[in-house]
Amino acid sequence: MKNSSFPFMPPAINSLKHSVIGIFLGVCLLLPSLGMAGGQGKILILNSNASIAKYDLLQKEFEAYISVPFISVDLAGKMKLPEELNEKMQNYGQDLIFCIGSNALVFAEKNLPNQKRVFASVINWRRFPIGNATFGVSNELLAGMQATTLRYLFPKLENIGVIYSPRLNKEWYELARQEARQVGMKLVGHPIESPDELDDALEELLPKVQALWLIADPVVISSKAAVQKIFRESDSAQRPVFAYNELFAQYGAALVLSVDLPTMARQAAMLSESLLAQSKGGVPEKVQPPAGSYIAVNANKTEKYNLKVSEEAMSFINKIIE
Amino acid sequence: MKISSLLPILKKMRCLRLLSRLVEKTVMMFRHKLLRMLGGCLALYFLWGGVPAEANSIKIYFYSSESNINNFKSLKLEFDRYLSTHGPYEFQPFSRRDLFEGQLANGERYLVLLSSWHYRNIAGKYQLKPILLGVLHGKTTQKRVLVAKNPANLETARLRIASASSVDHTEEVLRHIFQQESGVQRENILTVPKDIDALMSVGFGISRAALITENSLVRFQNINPTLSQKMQLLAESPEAFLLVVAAPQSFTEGSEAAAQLFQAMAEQSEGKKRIQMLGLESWQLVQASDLVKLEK
Repeated sequence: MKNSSFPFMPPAINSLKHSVIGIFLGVCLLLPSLGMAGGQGKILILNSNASIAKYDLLQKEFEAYISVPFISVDLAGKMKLPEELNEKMQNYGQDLIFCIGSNALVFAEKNLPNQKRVFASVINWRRFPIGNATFGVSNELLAGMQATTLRYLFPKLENIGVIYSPRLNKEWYELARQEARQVGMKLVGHPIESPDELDDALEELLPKVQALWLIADPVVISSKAAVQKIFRESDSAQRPVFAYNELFAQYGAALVLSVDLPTMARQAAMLSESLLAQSKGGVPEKVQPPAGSYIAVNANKTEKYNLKVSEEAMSFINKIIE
Repeated sequence: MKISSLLPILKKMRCLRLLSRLVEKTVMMFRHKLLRMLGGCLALYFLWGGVPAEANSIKIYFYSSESNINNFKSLKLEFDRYLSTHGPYEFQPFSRRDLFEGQLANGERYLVLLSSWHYRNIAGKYQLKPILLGVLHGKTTQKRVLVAKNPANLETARLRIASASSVDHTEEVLRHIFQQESGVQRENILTVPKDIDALMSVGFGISRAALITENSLVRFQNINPTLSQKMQLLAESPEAFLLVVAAPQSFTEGSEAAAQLFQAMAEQSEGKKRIQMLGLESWQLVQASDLVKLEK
């Protein structure tokens, strides 16, 4: 192994030189956490599982955007931290916690109560008790944003079908229907009370519409078999399916319209900084909708179903699936 | 074992021996000719594409600070697929300006696709000359406009602006619009993937204002008239060129070939599809009058 010391200097000077370099590097690395970054307050980033690509992306984008000191702690999919990490987290003295994913939010509520929290990538945030100190960016694009984007992508689309559970999504459906009407589309809904009604719903709805809009409704998407059925029946009826998550691309979704994660991270960072500087301004909105969209189009499916994508919208497509 | 059963094997061995002698004799007879042929093949290989394609290829670097185009994988795939049928081109999109500019310092056989604003900033440093301008709706220029939902009581210091351009470019456009420092704080600029996202973020109350192109606003007015009626136009920027194709001044033959290739794209459906991915409809040669405006 190569000796990294300086060959023509006495050992004492060599070791002193190394110490100076060490101190210099240490100071450089410590600068952000010493509060030299220009902002105010400190943030603890709590990641549900940093090995999940989308959580990792959110963390990196958040870190790149914020100007205040921070540390990050990875829960690695668990709800209990090793003692060392727990101590680090408890002693950091953060003014705000950025929770990535549902686990992180639940963990923070339980272990770090009464601290300001901002969450992101929490599916259906309404199912969690959101206290006064909790803020966030929701994981679902607004119905109006989705309807407008659909109209933008497919100018000739006139009607879309949606199967939903009235118990869970009646309000969403009513709002989406109005929003769709505003952009010149007709949303045809088919309510179902239980997963057993899915077969009949598909049989009745598909002939009436040009495409099927799949929403995150657990009564509709009750199992893998239900998802397979939806895509199989839609394909038989030559109807494209528009989905909300890229996972559905493997089943044959013609379009995936979801949240743009880097934008969500930037929103969370802006929200966090405005909360830290709250004395300067008013109270921000508790939970804001995501502002950026991610669009993936399956070119083979759109061609197969004769679904023409607007030429002007081509530059808006993030991914072309082939 | 009977000897008769070994006969076919012995026959085969004899045949093989005869065949190998024949090959040996032929090689000896024509060895000079064969060597010459091999030499010729090698010369052709090195002169005509024998060098690895990657080293010999013309790189097309893309970075746009004006539009938050982030479909890099699809862009790379589609452009490489199209361009490879027309020559040794390789498309390389960049998400970061520093990495993009780092590449420009490392070679001379390349073309760049970049915003006119970015071109003006770096043309001198990298000795670039413009070749083509992007065209949309028959024009090589576009305006940017600032819109807001409730323009009354807009306090610029706390104004959150959604923009599909980079933060640097957004600040520059706002300076142009207001003819001075806009007062908008850098940390209040929310970059979003697309103009339509910026418009919807205003429409649905996520941001107070949006900086978008005039073309996007017109399109949005057609798509969602109800929402766009609630927005007001606050200010507009001067006209600015769309995407620019440029090359190093020393790369003359490359720029001529590229001009032909890129101009021809709009005439073929496959080429047109790729141009549309950049938000354009065709390319136009840079005129003498454009040069002056590009420098401004």
